[in-house]
Amino acid sequence: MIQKLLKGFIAVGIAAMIFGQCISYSPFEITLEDHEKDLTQKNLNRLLDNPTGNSDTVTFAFIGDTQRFYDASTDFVNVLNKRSDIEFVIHSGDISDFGLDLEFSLMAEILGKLKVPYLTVIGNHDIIYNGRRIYEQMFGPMDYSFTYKGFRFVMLNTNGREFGFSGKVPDIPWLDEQLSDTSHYKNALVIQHVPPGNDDFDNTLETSYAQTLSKWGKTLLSMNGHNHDYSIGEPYNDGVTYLNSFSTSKKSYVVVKIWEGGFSHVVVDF
Amino acid sequence: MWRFQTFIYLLTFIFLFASNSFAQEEEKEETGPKKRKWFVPDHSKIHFAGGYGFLSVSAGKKILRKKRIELDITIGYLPKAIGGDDILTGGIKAQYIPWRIDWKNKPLQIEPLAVGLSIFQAWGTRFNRLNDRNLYSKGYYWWTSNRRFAPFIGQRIQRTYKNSSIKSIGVYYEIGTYDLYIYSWLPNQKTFPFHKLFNFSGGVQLSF
Repeated sequence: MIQKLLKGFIAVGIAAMIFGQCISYSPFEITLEDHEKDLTQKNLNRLLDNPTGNSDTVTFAFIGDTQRFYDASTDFVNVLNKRSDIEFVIHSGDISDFGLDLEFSLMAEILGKLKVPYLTVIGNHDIIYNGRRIYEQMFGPMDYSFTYKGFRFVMLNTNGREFGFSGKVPDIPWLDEQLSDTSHYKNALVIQHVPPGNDDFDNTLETSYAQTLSKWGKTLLSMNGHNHDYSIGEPYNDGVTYLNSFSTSKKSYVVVKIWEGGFSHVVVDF
Repeated sequence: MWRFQTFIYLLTFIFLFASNSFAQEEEKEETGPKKRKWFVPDHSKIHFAGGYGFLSVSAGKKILRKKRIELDITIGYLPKAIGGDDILTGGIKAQYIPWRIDWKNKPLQIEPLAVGLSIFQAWGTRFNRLNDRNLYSKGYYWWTSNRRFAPFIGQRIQRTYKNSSIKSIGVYYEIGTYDLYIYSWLPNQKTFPFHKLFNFSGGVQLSF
């Protein structure tokens, strides 16, 4: 009888475990599976090995702040997968809301269903708790750049507050280096989470950031997230347009088309 | 999958340990019931997973309503090799056990349900940074505190010993979740996988 009882007890336990399916040591743990690692490099390989579309132009979708918006982000993926004119997706950061392992995994699973590659920058929410380490494992470096069809995309960590306004985030010398070899690219786009001038941007670096973008004369766009809403303007009157992405919860995204010396954009609701 | 195996090995070990090594204790001579000071714990646990790390230990007391409420102070550790980061976690755990059923003629007691709440926090700057008032005004992030709330339900079975300094040895498991998981799932019931809300953990309890 006791044995039966014990068996029953263990059976219920195992059933519960299968139901629960997972064991969690800590919400703050970092336990990514191999397919969840180095996503930036994997997406870049896909993009750069097989460029699509017209050779003179680049058309991409611009989103941001997916945070806890799993339903809306899934809707976005489904809608975008019906299009054939988008070459890749740029995510302006805040992939997660609390920087937790589970959140990154869930969002990477959703975004991984995109037919086209996607590239991200780190947002302030992605740095909470162990988020920074998770981002670096899952995606890769917080600052990186790539050249696609001759256009330079500079992906920059601008979450100054999260780094204690140390005067080192964003990394201006690094940014300058990415933009300085002007003979090797047609135009540049700088993508970051927190826009300059925002409370969360290190204000000691605002001027040098704007000057770095404009001084090489080839930066078309500075693209941001963080504000959860679309905006476009030229705040420093220096020829650089600043574009802010919708959060996916706003059920809209921006399509940007660039060519040498210019760009156009369209807002699309879903 | 290896987590599952770890758990099974641990459970087996605990069972063997529990059923054999303390069996002799039954023979001990009778000692009169002593009134304990309020702060002296009456039980201790070793717990696997469930928010406090790979392994955690706790000491606690059964109080109120025929000792149906169990309070524990728990401290646990997650090594980097297992969880990707060295994390030390401490917290308190409270649970209510509505029924204790004695198995007739056998020294067994079953607790078919436990409902509880764990409040824990992890130590380290990456967890405490949000509380830095120089950087974050109050409410900058609404969940600013690094204190997390983890509700759970569970079951337990105990082998009881009469006339022994060890009153019982029990094994139990819990199905738990975390506050931030629930908060994420609530507005996303279409796409947030429901089963990912829950985690399974368990341990052994020694009452004395």
